[in-house]
Amino acid sequence: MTGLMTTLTVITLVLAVYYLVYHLGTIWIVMIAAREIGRETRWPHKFEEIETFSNPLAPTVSVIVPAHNEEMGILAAVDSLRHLRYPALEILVIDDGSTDRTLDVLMNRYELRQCRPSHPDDRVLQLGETLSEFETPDGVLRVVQKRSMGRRADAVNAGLRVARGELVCMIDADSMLAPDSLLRLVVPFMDDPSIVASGGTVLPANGISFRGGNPTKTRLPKKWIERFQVVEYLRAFILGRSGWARRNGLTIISGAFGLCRREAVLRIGGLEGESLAEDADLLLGVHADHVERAVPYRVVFDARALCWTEAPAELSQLRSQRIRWAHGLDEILSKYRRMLFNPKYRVLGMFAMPWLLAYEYAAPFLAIFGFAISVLGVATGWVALDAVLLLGITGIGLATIVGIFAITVQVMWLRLYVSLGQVLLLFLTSLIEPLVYRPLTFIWQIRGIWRGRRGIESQWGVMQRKGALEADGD
Amino acid sequence: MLRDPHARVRAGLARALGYVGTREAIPAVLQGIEDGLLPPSVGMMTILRIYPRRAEDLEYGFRSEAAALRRVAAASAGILEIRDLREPLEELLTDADPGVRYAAIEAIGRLADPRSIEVLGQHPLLVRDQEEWALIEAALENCRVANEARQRMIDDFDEEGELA
Repeated sequence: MTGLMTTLTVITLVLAVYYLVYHLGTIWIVMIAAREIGRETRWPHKFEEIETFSNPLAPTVSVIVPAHNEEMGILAAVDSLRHLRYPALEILVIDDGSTDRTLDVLMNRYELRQCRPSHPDDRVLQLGETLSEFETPDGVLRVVQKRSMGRRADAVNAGLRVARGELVCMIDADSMLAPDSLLRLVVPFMDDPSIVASGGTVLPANGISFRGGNPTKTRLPKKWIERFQVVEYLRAFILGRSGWARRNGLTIISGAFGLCRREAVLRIGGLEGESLAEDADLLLGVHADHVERAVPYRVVFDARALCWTEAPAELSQLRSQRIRWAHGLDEILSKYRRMLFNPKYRVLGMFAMPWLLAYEYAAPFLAIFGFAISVLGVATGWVALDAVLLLGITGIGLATIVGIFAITVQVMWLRLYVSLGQVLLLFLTSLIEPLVYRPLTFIWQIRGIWRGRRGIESQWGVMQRKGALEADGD
Repeated sequence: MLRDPHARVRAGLARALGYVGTREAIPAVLQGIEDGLLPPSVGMMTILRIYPRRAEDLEYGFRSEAAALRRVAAASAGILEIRDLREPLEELLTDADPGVRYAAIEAIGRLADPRSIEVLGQHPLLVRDQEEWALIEAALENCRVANEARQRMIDDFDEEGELA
């Protein structure tokens, strides 16, 4: 055997083990998620929700909505919050140095009046100075106007400093919550004091019409780029997060919709101001704080709690979003590397973090490397073309099956895209996605990681809103 | 079963007990709250569903070492308007735990018993924050309104008890 052949053999074996573990791991996560979903469908949720809604001691939830130049979507977001079926709510909009009419549209719509500045909690650092505060006559909605530091995290921190609720919910200004979503997330916090954070399902709102936060017409978006994201979100939220949460190994709760105990967030000083993945950073910080103090805790996920968000409809926007996410992933893996393979962190340290490293962070590099090795192997005649094709088809096939499973779960459980045409189109999208969309995201991911490794400073991208989430107008 | 190892199961059982509505379940619910096995909010909802009318059903909660249980007992007494618990509620106005004090003030306001005016009137001397101050004012207002209504009723009758 020549040196080249030996090298190829070793590399092929390493890659084979890598993909074998990936496939087995994916099947494991999907099975846990399926079991969890089956269990949840049998649980009397309605009873719990009715009891929570009528409970005089239901915890107050402060919903923090950071808004920077969000005049297109802010009314829809705040309207959806005012339609929430929850008895004790405080809505905090943080106008983070908007130069458009964000504050004006809020003032006109809700009869805001200037109020006395709140007493801030100094455990959380805020860099951009607070300029003024406004509130509605009923006191449910407060708007904090502050100078922008160019980071969403600073705006969220401004909200955390003045939030009064026992629980804090952080959402994006381009997000819309389904009316029951908050109630669904709060129930576990009431039942189990050890729960410190909870996440819900975030789905693209593109193509959907809403009234009072409820979808009235659920259409699939017209563009393939948006449809790919629908499948991607369904797979990630319904299966991935349900599975990891069951084992207390959730590494991220989406910044678009997450609920935490305020005290748990304040203990770690709020969000990391400089982080690009501040949602993952926050959750890993909360995990670390509890593990290091040896305090029992749980992070849960409820797929039935829905939040709609406007997904990028243009390739350029999607590219900058994914580059930023990958850069953020590089940051958090670097910051929390002490958790990797650390048994003290249990499932999080031994499985979830290594999974993040191997199959999120390293995946694009290994996919491209594996492809190059396959081409070289076939060209030198060392590997049979049939074997390479079989390996490729297995990988794509598994990704497609997982996607189809997620789509089926949403049809049976969430009942969003249910017509035969929609389901078939989603199946087709799921089939094409690994061939077209995933290689693209891999390229962007490599660029993001490269930026992270080079220490290039990134800023929050500006997303041009199409107004996919329209205000009710009532 | 309120000692089940799973928090969610315990909470579900407590809710079910509330729907069954049996008074005999109250001591176990109070004990569950005191021992930290049952979240106070869930335990309180169970008590409200059971709807006890007698002071002795909740008295144990007023004497508890656990602030969470004292708070639940105070808030429940107010919502259920158990007038026999006015005096234990007034004693909680000096409780060390602010949550218990707030619940007691609100409950006294709900009972709106004119006899509480004097105690509430003295309490502002001990008030530590604005929220408590606002609660006291609201409770006092309720008691005064009730007192005026009572006075009007007394005035409407003559000494022989006939409507004037």
